[in-house]
Amino acid sequence: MMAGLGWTAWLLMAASVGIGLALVLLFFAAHRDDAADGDG
Amino acid sequence: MNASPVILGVVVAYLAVLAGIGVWASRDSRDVAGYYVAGKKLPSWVIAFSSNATGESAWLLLGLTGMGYLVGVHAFWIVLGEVLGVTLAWVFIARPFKLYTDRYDAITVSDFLEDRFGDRRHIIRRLSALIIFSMVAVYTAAQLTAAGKAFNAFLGFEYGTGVLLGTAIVLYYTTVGGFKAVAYTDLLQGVLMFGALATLPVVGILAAGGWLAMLDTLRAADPALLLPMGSHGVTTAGVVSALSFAAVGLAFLGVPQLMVRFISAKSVREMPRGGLIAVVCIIVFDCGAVLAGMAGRALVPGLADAETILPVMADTLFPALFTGIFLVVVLAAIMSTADSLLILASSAVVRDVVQKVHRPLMEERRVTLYGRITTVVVGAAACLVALGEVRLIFWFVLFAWSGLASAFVPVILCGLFWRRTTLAGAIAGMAAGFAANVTWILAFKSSFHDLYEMIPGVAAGLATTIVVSLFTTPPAGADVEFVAVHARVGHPLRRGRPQTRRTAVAAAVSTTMIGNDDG
Repeated sequence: MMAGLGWTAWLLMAASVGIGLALVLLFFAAHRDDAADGDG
Repeated sequence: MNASPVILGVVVAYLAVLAGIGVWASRDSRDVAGYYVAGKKLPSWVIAFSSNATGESAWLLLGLTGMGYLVGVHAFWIVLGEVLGVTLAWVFIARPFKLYTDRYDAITVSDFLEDRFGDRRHIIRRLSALIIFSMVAVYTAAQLTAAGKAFNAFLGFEYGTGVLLGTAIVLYYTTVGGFKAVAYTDLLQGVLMFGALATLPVVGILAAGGWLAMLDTLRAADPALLLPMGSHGVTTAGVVSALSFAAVGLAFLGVPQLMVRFISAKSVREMPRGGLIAVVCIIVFDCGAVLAGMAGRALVPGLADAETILPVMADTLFPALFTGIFLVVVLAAIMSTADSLLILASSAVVRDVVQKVHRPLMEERRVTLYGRITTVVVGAAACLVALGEVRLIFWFVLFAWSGLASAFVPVILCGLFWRRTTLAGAIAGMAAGFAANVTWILAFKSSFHDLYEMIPGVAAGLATTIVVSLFTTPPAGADVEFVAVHARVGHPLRRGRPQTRRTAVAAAVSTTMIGNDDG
């Protein structure tokens, strides 16, 4: 029990936020410079 | 609850701003592309907030807070599904879809499908228009029902007066300002929703005595409120419930009211920043709603209707000015969905059927006029349904959401990522997905622990699209386009110079010339 909740509950809550955030940050980091490179 | 002058003042100011945005946007909505996709000139932050505000209707504020109240941590499966759905849509779908629709000069999802699959007889256009129109009518009626209930709960207005008022203001700015007004009002509405859902759980948890005290109260009320699998535990019913919750997010991968946001972007370069804003926004929306519901359960146990927890918390925890703001936020969630649905229904009838099938030479101004008239007619019809039917708001919403997803997600995914997809496969997949969705509700749902119909709907749509495509011939030229688009998209998660239009076409031509037919 951590901070009032079991680890499985924390895992679900962390996955809810973390997977999406990590993926979109990778996406942003990979393509934020596209404006200078591509032709639209 | 009676209307205090402060609350009324906040609501009137909000409605006046919406009407003002409608007038401001009107000069850019005179031609068809202007009216239906804001001339494809929208920046990343507008499309990001607009897509989230459209996807998240009154269901977010009333339904998801109610879910947090009823099942606690188990509701985080919905958060997981929605955050993943929004993320995958922006990371994997937005850029190829935008590139395809720009190549085709498409302004609706049906335009894209028709050109992608070479449908000269307009079959997929008619089928998608029919599905969009029928689902949107139901969905909009549910939103207007929610508007009537919100005015009633917060201000004590008659239900019918609330429905009429909500309909009138949405119709005004949508018909006057077109998609640009819809997108910018969505932005305002999305920001309001963001602020409310960032604030409400914090205030609620503090009022409940802090995080640990809130959890202690919830544990004492029902220990299952703090378990990921809820009261079911790890059983078939528990797994089905978790899957059904998570599946709500599947719709973000292809429902037309969200895909049209990608079409309306200024360019494909808006997507990385738009994706980041959209994902952060959906995390705050969904986590805020569930945590607010949990705090509400600790503060006000024993509510007869869990979906009233947000108005109850707004009334008990905040002064009158903020209660007015929370009403505005609920109205924002309702209106930001209803306006997008109305303009989608209008485009399905006027652009997809009247202009593209029957009257290709019709003047732009006349098409736009018909578009405005259709918006009013659909809105009036939905208003009549809402006046006659005051129950089942969220049943309607979830039904329409899954109906649109079952029909469109499989064909959008296959069309974007499987070059071997054929017209026959797409038509069969769309029809099968939608039919499976409806059949599941009518015949099977209750026998399978209430498994959400979107899962069998999307699965049937995907399977049918793939099987039928394998036995039919892909459209001529689709292979070249596919390679050209994906060469320009590059890897979604790896840094690398994307190919320009010229080098992408050269790559596509050389790929097809060496006989790449492996699908």
